[in-house]
Amino acid sequence: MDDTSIVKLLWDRCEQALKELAAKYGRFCHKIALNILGVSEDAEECVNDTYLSVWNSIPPQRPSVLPPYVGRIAKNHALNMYNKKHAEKRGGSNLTLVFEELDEVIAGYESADSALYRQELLSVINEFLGTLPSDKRKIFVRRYWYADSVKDIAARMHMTENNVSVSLNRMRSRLREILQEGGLLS
Amino acid sequence: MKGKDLFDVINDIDDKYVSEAGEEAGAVTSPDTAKVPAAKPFLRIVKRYILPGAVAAAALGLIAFGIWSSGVLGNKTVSLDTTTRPTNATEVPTSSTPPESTTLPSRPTDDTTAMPPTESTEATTLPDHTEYPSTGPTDFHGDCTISVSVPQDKMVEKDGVLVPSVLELTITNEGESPLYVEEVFTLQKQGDDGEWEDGAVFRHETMPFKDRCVAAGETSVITVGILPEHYDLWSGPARLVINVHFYEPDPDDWTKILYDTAFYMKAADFYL
Repeated sequence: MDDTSIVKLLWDRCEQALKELAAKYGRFCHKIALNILGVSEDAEECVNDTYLSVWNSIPPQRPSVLPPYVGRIAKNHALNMYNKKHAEKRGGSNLTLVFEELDEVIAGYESADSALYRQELLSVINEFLGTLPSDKRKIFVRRYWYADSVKDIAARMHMTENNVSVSLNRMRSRLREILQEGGLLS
Repeated sequence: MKGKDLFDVINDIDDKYVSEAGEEAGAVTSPDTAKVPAAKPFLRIVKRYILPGAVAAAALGLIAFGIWSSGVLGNKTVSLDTTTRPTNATEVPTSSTPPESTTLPSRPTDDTTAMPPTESTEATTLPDHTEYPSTGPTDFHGDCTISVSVPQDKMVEKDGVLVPSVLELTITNEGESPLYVEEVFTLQKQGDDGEWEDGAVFRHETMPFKDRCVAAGETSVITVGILPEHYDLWSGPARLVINVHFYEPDPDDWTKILYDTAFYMKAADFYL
């Protein structure tokens, strides 16, 4: 079933929509949650929460592109669960590595964390992504949006893990330079 | 702002990039029979609570049996090894007397033929941590010598174990052309299944290209700081993998990798 039909079913409050959603995006959401949480059972819980959130948010929302919409909800549920479980623990997980890598980009900068700053930052990141070759952009997004492991990215992109690591390292360095040039890093 | 905050910002990137990166996954565009693997409630409880408990109980039983059979428990006679092992931190060599470096002959530039990170080191050969630091085998591109050391005053005690707070990577380019270096230090932990998994990644501060160049005949020392929150990761089976990429930057395309190779410094070098 295409996405438009699923959204229509949701608007019609037809429970069949959830079955279709699960059939089409269940594994997609599960993978996103699993990347963050690392535990399949926890990821399952997030996926179920995602279905409920989608059900509650459509309507009034009517997303034009469903995968990012659903994926974001799954990711947010997974991050909430991750935060609860890791409130006092650190180190070891895939997501921790992702955070540490991104620490490099933003290292040493203390922001006011305002909504305006975040909006500017997002705008620069979108521009930065637009300048990247498609394959490099996919690597960046797989790592820092989907939180894929380097190993998974290498397999997906048919590259060596070394090359993926080097590419990520360079993209982080380049992003940091752009942020500095744009005055977004002190 | 920290990496986590940046991760949150990246969460809101343009949908088209998220879709693009998800395209080839086979999950977004090939939904056939793609259902969430949902375990039944009872099975989930068994998998999540009962099985781990049973495994833990079995492990405890094995340990107890091991202790009993070795004579520590029960009425067997115990013969203790009274060999004194030095544990004084002052015996740690300093970086001013770097460990012996190994220069290997030039090799083909096959990055996968370097020492694989999954190569295991027998636990029985673990050196006492006071033998630390040591320099392990190296594998590299061209005529180059690499060693890793820890300055003596940078060893700190964590839960009774000396751990490094700083690593120094010394690269000497003995060839005739410059080397551009990009390195990643990864501390790996050994899981219960024997597999090595990344526990933490250390890198030096981001450096411009020109500073990454080790000119012909020159030596470069790269210092890497380790965060205190990572000190406890060194306990138990751990190893440091040092992954160094040599490459030539393309001035027209900074994302392009013209040449890339890597080597790994094996576990034995940094067992604690």
